[in-house]
Amino acid sequence: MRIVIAEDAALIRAGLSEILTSAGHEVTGEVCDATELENVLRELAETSSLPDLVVSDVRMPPRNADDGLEAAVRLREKHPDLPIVLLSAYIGGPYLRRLVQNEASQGGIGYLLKERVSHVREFLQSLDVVASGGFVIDPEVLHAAMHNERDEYPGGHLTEKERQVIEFMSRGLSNTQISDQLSISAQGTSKHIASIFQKMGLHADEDNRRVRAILRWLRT
Amino acid sequence: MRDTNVVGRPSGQRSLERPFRRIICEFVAVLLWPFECVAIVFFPLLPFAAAGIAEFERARARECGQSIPRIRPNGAPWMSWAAVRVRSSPLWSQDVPLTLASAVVGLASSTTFAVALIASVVLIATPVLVSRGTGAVFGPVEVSDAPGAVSVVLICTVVLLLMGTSAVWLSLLRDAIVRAVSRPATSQLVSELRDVRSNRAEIVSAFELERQRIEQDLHDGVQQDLLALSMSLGLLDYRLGPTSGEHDLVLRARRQVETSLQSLREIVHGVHPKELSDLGLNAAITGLCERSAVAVEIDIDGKTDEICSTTASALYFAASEALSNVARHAGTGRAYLRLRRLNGRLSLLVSDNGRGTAHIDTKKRTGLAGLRHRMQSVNGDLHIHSDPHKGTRIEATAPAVLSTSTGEPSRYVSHEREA
Repeated sequence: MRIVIAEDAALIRAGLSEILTSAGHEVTGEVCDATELENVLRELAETSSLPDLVVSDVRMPPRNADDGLEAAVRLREKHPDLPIVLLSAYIGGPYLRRLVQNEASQGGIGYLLKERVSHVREFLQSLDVVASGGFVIDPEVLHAAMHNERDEYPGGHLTEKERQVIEFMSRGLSNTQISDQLSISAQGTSKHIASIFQKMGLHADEDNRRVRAILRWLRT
Repeated sequence: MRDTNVVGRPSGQRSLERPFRRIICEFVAVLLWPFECVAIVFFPLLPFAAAGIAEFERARARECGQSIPRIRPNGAPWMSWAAVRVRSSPLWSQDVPLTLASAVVGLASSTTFAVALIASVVLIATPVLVSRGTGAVFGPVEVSDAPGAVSVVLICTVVLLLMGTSAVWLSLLRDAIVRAVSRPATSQLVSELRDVRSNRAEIVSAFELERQRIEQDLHDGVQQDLLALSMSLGLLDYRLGPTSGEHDLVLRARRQVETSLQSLREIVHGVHPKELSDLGLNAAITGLCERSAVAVEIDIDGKTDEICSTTASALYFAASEALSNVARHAGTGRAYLRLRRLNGRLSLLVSDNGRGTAHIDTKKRTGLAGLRHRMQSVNGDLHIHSDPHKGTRIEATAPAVLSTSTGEPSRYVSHEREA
């Protein structure tokens, strides 16, 4: 994959670059602030060579607040298909919801805590999932964001198992991985997923039901 | 604790309890009186002499039971202290008037003692002279027999008693003068209070900036290094592959680094939470609620982004401690948090329906007690209402001081609340 990295801490940027090249990816660009990120992406867009993925820190200059997030939101408005993975130093706040809120129905979003990067195999898998249009949300961020009554839908409450299934789905796990985690059979997982879709009112003929289900769950 | 700066009479009638001591003090004052007169006559000497004489008067008043604070610090050399005192304004508002008054009273005292001296001499001499047969002559009156001598002795005794009483009254008069002179003017107190308040605000603000600097240094330095180390170990593990013999060792090493990172993060968070400076109070408190072990119903209203960081961090830690309290003691898994900005005041409320065991134990430095001090240091306060049936309410309030007014750069980003 061709990847653009945006990270202001030099050590971390170098580490990220090394990890990505070790896995055989090409680091198309390395920037250290949000403005430069948008500039680089604009240039690449003009030459029709948008990267396959953007990995960006949330907190970056110029404001050192949530510049990375804002840039990501703007980039997604211009290029709705551009997969972006955000790395955050801390859990809380309205970050995740903002990112998800501004979406229509697209996937290709990742939100990870920075320390996850050192779990290289999982990190690389997450990149693959996001690049192919899926979701990867860090479990700690998920737990923090999901507190009260998130399971109520037009079709009724999600059961405990269904809640766990959709949580794993948001973390970017495949059905096989979900079955392993919950120690249930593949059919069991499929049944739960079908039930989730039904309760959320997602019909069989809709595209990207998985992505929509996750979005719907994250947005409540 | 008795405030030693309070000027006044100690309770009770102690001022009249020490007549002999007073008389002796008056005598000493009389010995000093000629020097006072010299200092007044040669008025260039007056300021320097006044510093010392006033200190003497204060010491005398203390001896007689008044609580007058000493001005000269214990052990300070007289000359250099006097040189400083002479240049200060209380010299002219306190010391010099005290010296002048002391000289006036000293005149009366000297007269008293002079009369007492004469009376004593007569008292002793008359019986002696009469018994020798010589007789004593007092102007037109001659005393040469026993009844005469006895009357003279009686008269002298009465005079001595009167003089003694005089001396005591003069001593009380001196007390009153010293007290009157030592009472600081209200305007002086007001200006001192203003100074103390602004000093305290400066100290609290400097402390806050220092904390932020520490947090910044830790984040930019050590945390960065540890994270990079963790990533290197992760990459090493990836390259070695899951089947290598070193796999477990590398994982263990990486886990150790992650533990260090976690500890460091917690310390830094306790020092100064990054979200607070980056995202502002609203977002930081929302994050706090989300991470809490308790399910929190959040009710935040009002823009708090421009609040100065000392006030913001005091409120943040108040919320943090309050929520920990709920998790620890209330026995309930739900809480309610409300943050409002109204009429220039910020108000935070954390309540639960639990067991109601919270109270501020001011003897120990428990979290809540320290918090009250912290809120008071930003001119706010903290109250707890705890009831076994109705649960606990913790309320923290503070004036909404804006960050620009203390000259700090405002790094907050304004976030709209999600619909």
